[in-house]
Amino acid sequence: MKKIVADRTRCVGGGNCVMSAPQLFAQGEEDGLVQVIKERPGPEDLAAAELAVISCPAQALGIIDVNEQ
Amino acid sequence: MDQTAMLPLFPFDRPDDGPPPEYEGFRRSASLQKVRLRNGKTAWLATRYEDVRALLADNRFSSDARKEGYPQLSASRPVVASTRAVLPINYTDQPEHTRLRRALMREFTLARVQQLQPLIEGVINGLIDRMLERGAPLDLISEFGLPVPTTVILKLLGIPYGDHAFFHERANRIIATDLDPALAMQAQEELRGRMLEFIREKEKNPQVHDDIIGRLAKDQIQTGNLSYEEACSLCQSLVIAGHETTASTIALGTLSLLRNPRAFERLRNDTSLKLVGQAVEEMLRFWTIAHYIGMRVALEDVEFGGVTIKAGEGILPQIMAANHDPDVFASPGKFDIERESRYPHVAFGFGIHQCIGQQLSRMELRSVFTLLPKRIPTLRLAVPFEQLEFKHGGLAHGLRALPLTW
Repeated sequence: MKKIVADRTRCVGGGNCVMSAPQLFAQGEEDGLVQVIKERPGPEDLAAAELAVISCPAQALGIIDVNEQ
Repeated sequence: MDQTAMLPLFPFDRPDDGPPPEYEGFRRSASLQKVRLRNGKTAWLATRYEDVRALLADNRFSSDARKEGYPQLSASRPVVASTRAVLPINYTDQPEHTRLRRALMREFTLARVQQLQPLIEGVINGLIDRMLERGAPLDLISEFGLPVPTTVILKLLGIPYGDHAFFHERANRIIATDLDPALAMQAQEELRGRMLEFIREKEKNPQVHDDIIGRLAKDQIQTGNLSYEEACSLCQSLVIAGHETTASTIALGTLSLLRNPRAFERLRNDTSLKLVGQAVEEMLRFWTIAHYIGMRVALEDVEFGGVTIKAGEGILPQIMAANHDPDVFASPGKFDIERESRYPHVAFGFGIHQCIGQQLSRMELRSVFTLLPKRIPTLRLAVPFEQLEFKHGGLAHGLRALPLTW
C-alpha cells in the first residue's frame, strides 16, 4: 500500500504539489508549507501523486510502500 | 598554448525564437561542457533536462554572487543586485534563504492566488478598456504587458495607486540592459528609499494594512524575524522580479498565438480553464525568458557526469536548454498548446530558489490569455514579423516592442 510523505523542513512553498494533485496536497494558510490532506492515495490518485513528486523543486515529497496494518 | 582560449564563449547568441543551436551538440556529447566567460574565467555548462534539474536542486552549489568563482556574465559589470544593502534573496543560501523565503511564502500559495483572480481580472480588463479607447496601433508591452504584473504586485504590496508611476519607472530603469549601470544603481537606491518609507509608515499601525507590507511589518519586523532592510529587500525583489518576466511572457505568448492562428482561435472560443492552462505552460516552456537564472558556484568538489566540479568552480545549468531537450519535450521547437509531457518545464527554475511568484504569474498569464483573445478577437501584428526587434544580450529574453492592431 502506498503512503505520501512530505518533509516540511525542505518545502519552499512553490505550490507545484497543489497544482499537480489538489486532492492530495494543500498549503498552510499561515505558513505556506505543504500539507498532505490524503496520505493514502487511491489507484486513481497515483499519476497525480507522481507528478507532484517529480515537480517538487525542493525534493520534499515521496511515495513510500507501507505494510497494511 | 592557452587552453581556455579554445573553449566556446558563453553566453551564446540566442536566436529570436529558439535556444542557441550550440546546445544540441553539447547535449549529445556530454553532461557538462566547459565554457569560457567574458571575464576570462571558465564554468561548466549543463544542457540536459535531467542534469539541469539535478544541479539546481543540489545544495552543494551556492547562489552567492559575491563568491569567488560565481559565473559573472559580463566582463566589466558586476551583478548590480549584489551592490544592494542586503543581499537579495535569490543570491542567498540556506539557512539564510529559508528564513527570508518563509517570511513571504503565505502570500503566494495557490489558494491565496486563486482568491486574487477577481483583482487580477479587474486590472487586465481595465487595461484592455484603455487600449480600446486609445485605439490601434499600439505597443502591447508598454500599454499592457508591463502594467499588468506591476500593477498587480504594487496593489498586493499595498502601494497606493498614486505612487505606481514612481515604482514602474524605477523598475524599468533597473532592468534596462542598455542603460549606464550607474543609472540603474541610482534607480535601485531610489526604489529602496521609497519602499523603506512605506514599510516604516505601515509599521506604525500594521493591523490596519491588509497587504504584504502590513503583514511583513506585523509578523516579521515586529517579531524580530526580519530587519527593515531585509523586509525592504524582499519587497524590492518582488517589484523587480515580477516586472519584466511576466511582461515578456505576455508579449511573446501573444506573438506565438498570432503566429499560430489556430491556437489563437481555439483560445478565443475556449471556455474551459484547462486549455488556457496548457497554453500558458507551453508559452513558459517555449520562450523560457529568464534564460540565465541558475548560475551557481561549487562549495566543495562534486562528482557529476563523469567529471569533478572543483570547489570554487562555476556552473551554468541552462533552463532554456532543459526546456528544449528533445528527450523530454518531443519536437521542442514546435509551439503546441496541447503538448503533453510527463515532466514539467523548468522555466521558473528548480531547487530552493524556484520562483516564489510562479502561481501568481500563472494566474496573471491565464487571465490575460482568457480575456485578451475574447475581448480583441481581431488582434494582429501591426508590422511584419521580420521587423520585430528582440532584446539580445539581456538577462531576460523579450521584444523591444510589440506593435499590434485590430
